[in-house]
Amino acid sequence: MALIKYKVPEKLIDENGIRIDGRKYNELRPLSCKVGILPNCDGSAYIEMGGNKIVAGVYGPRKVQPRHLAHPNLCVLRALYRMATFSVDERKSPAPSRREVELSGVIRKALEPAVFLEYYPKTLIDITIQVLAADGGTRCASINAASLALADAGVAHRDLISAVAVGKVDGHLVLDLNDIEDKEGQADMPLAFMPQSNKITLLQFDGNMNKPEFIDSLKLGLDGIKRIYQIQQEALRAKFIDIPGEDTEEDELGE
Amino acid sequence: MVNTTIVSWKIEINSAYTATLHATSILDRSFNPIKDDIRKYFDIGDEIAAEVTAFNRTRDPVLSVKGRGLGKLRGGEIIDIIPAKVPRLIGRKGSMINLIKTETNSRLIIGQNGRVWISAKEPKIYRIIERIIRKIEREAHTSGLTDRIKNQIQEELKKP
Repeated sequence: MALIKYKVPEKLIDENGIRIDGRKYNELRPLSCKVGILPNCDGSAYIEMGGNKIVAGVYGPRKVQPRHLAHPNLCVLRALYRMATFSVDERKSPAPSRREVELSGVIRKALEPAVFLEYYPKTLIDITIQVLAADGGTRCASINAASLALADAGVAHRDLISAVAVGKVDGHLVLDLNDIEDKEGQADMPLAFMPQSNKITLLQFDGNMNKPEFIDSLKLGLDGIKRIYQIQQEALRAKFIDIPGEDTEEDELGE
Repeated sequence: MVNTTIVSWKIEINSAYTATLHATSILDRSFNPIKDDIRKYFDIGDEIAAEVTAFNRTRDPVLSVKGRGLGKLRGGEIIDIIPAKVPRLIGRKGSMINLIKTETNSRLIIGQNGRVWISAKEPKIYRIIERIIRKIEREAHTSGLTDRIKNQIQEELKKP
């Protein structure tokens, strides 16, 4: 047990509509992505979404091992979501928890609609997601990172997938919940979306909302996803813009 | 080449699938397992250039070595590049590969699977070609690459 528990402020949103971390209701947390950070896998991405720090790596398409998992017509997608022991306030047991197994499945199902699985029959794509630091909304940040890693690996894609959570805090709808808002709020709705094909691939819901609130939060979420999508695209382009110029490598080695 | 059966070879082709090369592909007659030893032609560890003749979702790729320039690769060196960058390494109508071949006076075979076989006269040339190929792989999307590559090859050849 932790001796000091974090203090929950009385009001999560002040009279001016500013949230505990100083954001407006429709503001995202600071988001940055980097693509191609791991040399040993086929594709990789790193994402920082508020306090979340997540690495995703992709292997494949490759041979299926064990072979009975193989599908004769399709590629099998396998996601592995893990949290590091130091990613949360209280040390997390390194053993895979029920929550991690569940989230692995959720992330896999959210990514599957974007990949042309029929292009790679009898093969397997492994997506490994490691949460280094968790700050609420890790599943959404993981989906963002995993989608970038798949794109970096050159896996044929219909679209990138962008994800964000919307929730209700102190009776207000807010975008991109942080850890405290997630735990103390009245509702939490993670949402994953393919912006080009206009399709929702993940919609989970926890808490209480009425129908108009639900429709409004869906709009709020899709608006945030548009901005995330742009940052993801920029991250993919950045990999090729930052190409080392002529002979810089040799110069660096010489020093 | 990773394994043999009595009448065929299993070939590693840098893919999720293992390819098969039938012994009849190398002979003009039918293959007789009693008289012929398959390892006489290709053995484990050999490197070959081959083309894919059949592949669909029910059948793993089948290779053939019938054709000009196909067969066992003797000597030389193989390097792997990202398969997506193969078209850039070949260039429009082979402009890039022909440039490297003529400038360095060497032989190259580029596989669609990202394997490049290099055969040159001196160890120095191998190193130059490898550096050049890595550069093309890294800067495949930049413009004016062919001219820069030409300059770099000529500069590197001048160095002792």
